[in-house]
Amino acid sequence: MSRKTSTWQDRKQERVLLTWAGMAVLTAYLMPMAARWAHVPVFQWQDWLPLAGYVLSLFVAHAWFVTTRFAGDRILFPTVLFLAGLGMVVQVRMGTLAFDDPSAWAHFALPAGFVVALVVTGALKKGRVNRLEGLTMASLAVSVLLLGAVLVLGSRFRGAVYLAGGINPTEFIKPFMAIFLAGFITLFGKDFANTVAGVPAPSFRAVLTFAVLWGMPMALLVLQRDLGLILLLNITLLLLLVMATGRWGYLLLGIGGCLLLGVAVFLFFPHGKARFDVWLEPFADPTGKGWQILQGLSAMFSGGWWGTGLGTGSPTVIPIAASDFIYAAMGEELGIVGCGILMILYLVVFYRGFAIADHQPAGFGRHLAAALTMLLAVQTLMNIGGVTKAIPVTGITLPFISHGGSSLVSSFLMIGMLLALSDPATGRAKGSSRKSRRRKR
Amino acid sequence: MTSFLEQPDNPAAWIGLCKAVFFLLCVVYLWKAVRKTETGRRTGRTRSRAYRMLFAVFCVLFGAVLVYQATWQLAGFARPDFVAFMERYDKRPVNPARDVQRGRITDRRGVPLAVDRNDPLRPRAYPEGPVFAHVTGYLDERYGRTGLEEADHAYLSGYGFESGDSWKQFGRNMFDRKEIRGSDLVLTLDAGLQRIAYELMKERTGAVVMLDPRNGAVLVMVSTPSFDPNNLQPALFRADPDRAPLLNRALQGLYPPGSTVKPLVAAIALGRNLRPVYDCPAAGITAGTGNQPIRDHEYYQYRKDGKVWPGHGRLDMREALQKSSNVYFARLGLDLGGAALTGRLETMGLNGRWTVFRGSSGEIRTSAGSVPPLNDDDKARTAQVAIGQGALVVTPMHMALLAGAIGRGGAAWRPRLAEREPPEPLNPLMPAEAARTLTGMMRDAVHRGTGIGADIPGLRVAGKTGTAQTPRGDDHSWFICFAPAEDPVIAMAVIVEHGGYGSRSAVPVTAELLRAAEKAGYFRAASEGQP
Repeated sequence: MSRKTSTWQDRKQERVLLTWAGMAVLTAYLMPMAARWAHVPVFQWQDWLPLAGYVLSLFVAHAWFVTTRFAGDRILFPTVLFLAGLGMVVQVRMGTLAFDDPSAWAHFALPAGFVVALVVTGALKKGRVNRLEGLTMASLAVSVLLLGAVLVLGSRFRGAVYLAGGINPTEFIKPFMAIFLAGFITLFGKDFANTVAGVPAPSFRAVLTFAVLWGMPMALLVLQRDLGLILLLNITLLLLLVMATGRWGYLLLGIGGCLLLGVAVFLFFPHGKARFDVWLEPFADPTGKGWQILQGLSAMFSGGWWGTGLGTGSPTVIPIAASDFIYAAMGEELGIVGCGILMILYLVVFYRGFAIADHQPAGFGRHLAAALTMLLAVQTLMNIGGVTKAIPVTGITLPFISHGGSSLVSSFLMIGMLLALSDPATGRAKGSSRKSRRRKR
Repeated sequence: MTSFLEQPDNPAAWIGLCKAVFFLLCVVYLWKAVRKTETGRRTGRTRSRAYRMLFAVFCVLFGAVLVYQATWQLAGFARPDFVAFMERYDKRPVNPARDVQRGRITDRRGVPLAVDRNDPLRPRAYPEGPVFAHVTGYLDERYGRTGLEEADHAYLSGYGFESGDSWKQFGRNMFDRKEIRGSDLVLTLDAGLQRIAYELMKERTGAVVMLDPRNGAVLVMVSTPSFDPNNLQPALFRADPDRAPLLNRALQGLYPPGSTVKPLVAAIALGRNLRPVYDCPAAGITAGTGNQPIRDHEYYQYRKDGKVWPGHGRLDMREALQKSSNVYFARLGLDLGGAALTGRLETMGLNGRWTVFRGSSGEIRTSAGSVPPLNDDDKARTAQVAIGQGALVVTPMHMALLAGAIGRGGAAWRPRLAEREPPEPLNPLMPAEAARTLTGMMRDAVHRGTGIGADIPGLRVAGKTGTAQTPRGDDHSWFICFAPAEDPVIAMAVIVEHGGYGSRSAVPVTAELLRAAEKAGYFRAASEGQP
């Protein structure tokens, strides 16, 4: 009993944050509702279903953590739920969570992601997450199988490949690739840390092994022309190498790799080159290739500082506004202030992610936490940067906000793993475990 | 917020209230999340520097993206291409670029020549109608942009950060878009004189250029026939090539200069200390065997009246210029030789181009004219060029510039349309001594010669008429002049297509315009400095 009470007290910050997040999302939800009411002054009970589900999930999350005596991070999950709640509101506003058809897939994406995160946390907490190290090669195999299945069975839509039911399996390789990268670097980290005269000089065996293993998913992604994911995975790989080995030379290597990739893009990916051209000269073809990015910027300009308010702008004129360009829609209706708040929320998530990584003992868990956080952070940066024209558009989604069930569930899966990592290995008996970890190091 | 209290029925007010509360709750959330982090407390270990740095890098990157986003979201009005895109292609019920007012184009005294209309279909109004059509050009949803509207598009629709003041304005506009305005473009032109020039020319075809030879400021630039930029019709763009109302004849009209080239030939000769006296018989001069002789116009006049003209006899340069003797200048041209003649004309700017306006989005340039390279054996063509015929063509702008250069001792300034462009000296077009001698001769040509119609008492006009033969129809009528002769403040070139003798059409137009300039105070101020 005393333990339970202390968990209750221990998770007070989570409770407080969930309360504020819930209130903020509720207020946000009222905006598109009011806007709709201005046109059609009738409310149906279904209109409030997403909000009710969301509020329920906040209670469930907290209850789950308290009853399972979860001792991990208390800020990460409320913040992720806050972001997901904003995503839910914006999707309601964009009409992608259609009220007329409650059986639509989209309605189950957020609950599914939420459940996945809780289940994964429960399954992998108390240090059990470290057992994933044994699945390093299996994870790679799963990734390659997923990509292969997509290649064989998938159908192409808007440059991405989907399986039946609108599932985009390539989204799911992210957590598996994170496990693979973490496991691989745990194995070969020392090798990669070798330097000759300041230049990273990993052993030939390590490089060859890595090239073969990494080459398989990369080749499949190239075949699918999924440039965004290739970039995301490779940037994460480089950052992870730098973090694991402390050798900044890998960043130089990365710049060289980027140049090579750039050349490859120009030679082999006509749509990659097109995206690059649009980025440089959006006004060269304003009604064609530049249309989407310019419509997005136009939407943001109309938003100004404070935005028009959810439901009162016209973000639907932006092509694919609900998924890749959702950030522009938020820029229009919540203004640059809303965008800034959104960015800080993301940064809180990444800060917690890096803190979790930092609190891990050297080894697999540390690399896994870092890899998961980097994947999410780089993905967010690539999406927001692309929409604001700071970098070329890479066709990657905004975690927790963009429309798309696969992306949402996959991101929640990664958050679940991070949460599991944040849980101390042996519950409250921390002292002994820390000693044992130190001995390992 | 207050609107919500005033109008509780208005959903927009409720949405505004929700938004404010939402932002407030977000801030509270962030405060609660950031204030008390678990860092260090749980494990007692200090955080590793590498992860702190990595997180800092991400913070910087996100911050940079947000700042870059702000250059579109908050300061997008300063991106002219972007504003143009939104005006044209944004389908929002209220166009986000609605507040961005395009700057005005005004004359030197602030008379508006082009103003914003706040209508995406017809964004501009041109209060002067056809008078300034060729100067301002037009801005139209269907027909695009031309003239200054095109060349200075960025400056007019966005911001030209020339002064600290516009930065301040920029900062204000980030917070209040109601005041967003492009910069005003102030021209050197004088709307009053331009109107008079247009009135004089509107029934004819031709061009008038008046500039200040002391600094190159263009005061009048009229081209007729003109068009109304307020009312563009498809027919305008199909008009027959003879009328060509869209053509700015002042800058782009290439005309044979006729006798107005004679001062230039004289200047070339004077520059070589050549001041011959020639016998100029009625029979004229035949350059190259088998060609028609070049005769003076009196010969044809007498023949028409059934009389026989005895010829000028011996003429010196002063008399020849005064009487505009073709025979004299044909001989002079032959004596100078084709190579020297065309070479020196080139140093006077022919075959070159002037940039009359350097805008934020482009330039407005004018051809000076062209002269083919001749060698000394090509006597027939040399003689033709020396009397302003044949392959030699010039633009009215360049003739005004040359007239001014003669008056100012050979010194010339780049012609310019915008006040903001500083005067820019050109290389001297002719030796000062030759220009001074020539000034006296041109004063005589007005005082006692063919240009007497422009001899307005007190103004001491110096000039030269010209009659350019054309393949069909009446001759083109030219007049170039500057005044006052000793210290000119005005230089002009007028061409009336098919206007007959220079003295018949171009001179009266010039005289009228000079009187108007006198009334406007241009000559009064000459002795006191700038007007």
